[in-house]
Amino acid sequence: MNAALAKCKLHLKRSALLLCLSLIIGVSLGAADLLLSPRILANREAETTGQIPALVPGSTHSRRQTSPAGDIHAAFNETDALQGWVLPVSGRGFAGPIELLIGLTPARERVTGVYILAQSETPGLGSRITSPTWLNEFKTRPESGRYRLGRDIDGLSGATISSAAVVDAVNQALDTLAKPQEAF
Amino acid sequence: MNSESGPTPTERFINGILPENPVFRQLLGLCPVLAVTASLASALTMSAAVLFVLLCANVCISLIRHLLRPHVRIVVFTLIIAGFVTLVDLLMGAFFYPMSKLLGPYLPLIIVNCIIICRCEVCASRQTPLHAAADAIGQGLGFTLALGALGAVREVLGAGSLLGHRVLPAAWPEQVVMILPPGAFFAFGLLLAALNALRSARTARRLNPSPTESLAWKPSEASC
Amino acid sequence: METLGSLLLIALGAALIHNFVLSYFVGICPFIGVSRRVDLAFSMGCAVTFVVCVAATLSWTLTTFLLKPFGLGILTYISYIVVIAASVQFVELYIRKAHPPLYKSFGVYLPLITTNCAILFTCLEISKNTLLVSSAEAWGLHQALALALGGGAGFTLAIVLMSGLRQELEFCDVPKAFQGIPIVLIVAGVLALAFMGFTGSDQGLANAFRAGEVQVSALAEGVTP
Repeated sequence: MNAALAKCKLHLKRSALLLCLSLIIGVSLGAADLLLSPRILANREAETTGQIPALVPGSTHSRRQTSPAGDIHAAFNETDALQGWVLPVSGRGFAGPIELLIGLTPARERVTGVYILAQSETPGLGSRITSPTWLNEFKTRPESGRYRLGRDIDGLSGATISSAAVVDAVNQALDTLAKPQEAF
Repeated sequence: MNSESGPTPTERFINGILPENPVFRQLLGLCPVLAVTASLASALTMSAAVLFVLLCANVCISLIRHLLRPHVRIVVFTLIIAGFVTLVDLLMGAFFYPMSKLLGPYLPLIIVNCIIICRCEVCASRQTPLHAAADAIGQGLGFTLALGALGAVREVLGAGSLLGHRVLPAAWPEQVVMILPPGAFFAFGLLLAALNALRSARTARRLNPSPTESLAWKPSEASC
Repeated sequence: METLGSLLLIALGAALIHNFVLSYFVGICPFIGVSRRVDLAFSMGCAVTFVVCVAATLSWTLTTFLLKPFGLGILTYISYIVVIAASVQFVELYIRKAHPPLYKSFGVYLPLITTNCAILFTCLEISKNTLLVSSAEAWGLHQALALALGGGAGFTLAIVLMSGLRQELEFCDVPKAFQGIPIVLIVAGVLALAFMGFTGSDQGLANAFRAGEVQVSALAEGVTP
């Protein structure tokens, strides 16, 4: 019994440094987390909300809501009047997922802007989907209500799959959101 | 104490930059060297993060070097490094958010970067904090030099720009492969070959009787 | 998302489409250091695959049941590195007791695997898909294991290919400046170029799996497709 206790004590003594160290690291990291995590969260949020004024003309601020298509941001102007919506969606591109933001009119039947949040397409080829000139083509409303690659939207040569992924994602967003007209 | 003897802080500092450059001479920590050098900005950010962690870990371990026991030494190193890497990750997320998103998993992978463990073992666990700090800064600058060189070459050839500013005329056909994964291997291989050629030319000029010796690489076998 | 197809996509993605070594550059040091002989390279690949599976299981369990419910995301890196060190120790003990001949061939590399970034990278990918997403989208253990198996297989494939090429390289007249590591890196670059050919195939595979599922479900309902 005594031998076991002594052994235990020895082990404790040997690992005292490790224990103290873990404690110090744990406490200091906890403090750093408390200090910095609000900022990190704000950064993560600003990634989306910072784009909203450009995507919905006339809007100054936004509020996050839930919709049938997931989270959606409602965009308002200075007098708190609804200016439009911004929907984050993702599509499968050539080399990985493409995350994009779609700006919509208050009735959600027209696109006011598209922004690529994240993509990993081939630099110089697929990555041209981020070019504002190409993305601006989405602002012209297609006659059929759906965007068709090659007619309403130019297919980017060398980036067919990437551009088709963006067009599909926008069409899908319009399909899910334009039908139920009630406000959410 | 005998173990306190060794290279002086100045020697440690200078050694890290070229004579014992962690990347070119010791071939340590190759993951970030290849992974984040597609642009100069990400390469420099990564180097700064590694330099910070290396400096903090080296000084901390040097301060507690008399308390270290042989069998828990590596665990202590790893614990301290992991703590500082978490701190860097938080700081980057708070103050350089776009960069932290770009570096992604390679930032936490600093924990298993063998340069840091290697310096803790070779220098910090044996010498004073001053030596350890000089060593960390030297090795960190050596690492920065390597990453900066690769990042600059790859960004100029692959995108025609440097730190996002266009430096080559628009007529330059961008070699996209240089900023893709294969380009990392090509650029680093060619850079090492150029250094080899340079060194063997210099030894030939000095009529060094053993030119092969300078070509001997010591890759860290399985770790990293 | 629970289908076999999605698991296969994760595994193939890690093994071929975004190969751990040739696309993500994790595990570069063993890729260069232990690729002189095919048999040793294969042993190394198997050891890494084994450890990565154990570490993935442990880190998934830890993340799902401890780190996420208690909001301990700050300890992710520290706990993962402890888990990896522990699983390497565990694997070493197990192999030494259960398969002594295997231990002899692996033995040297096992402790070094602790600092192999492929392992930590896998754990980090798992944490990205469990810790940072909503519970509905969070990965299950099967998805974590698919990534680990695929990644390990991809690492083994890359290192075995490389060692085969290096054995041939010994008979080649390599320019003096390129002898040693530089030529290995150039060859690795060509390999990476070859593997880039797989890019984009995941979309085709996903469509094929979806079509297959529709057919299977139609058959199950007794309707001819």
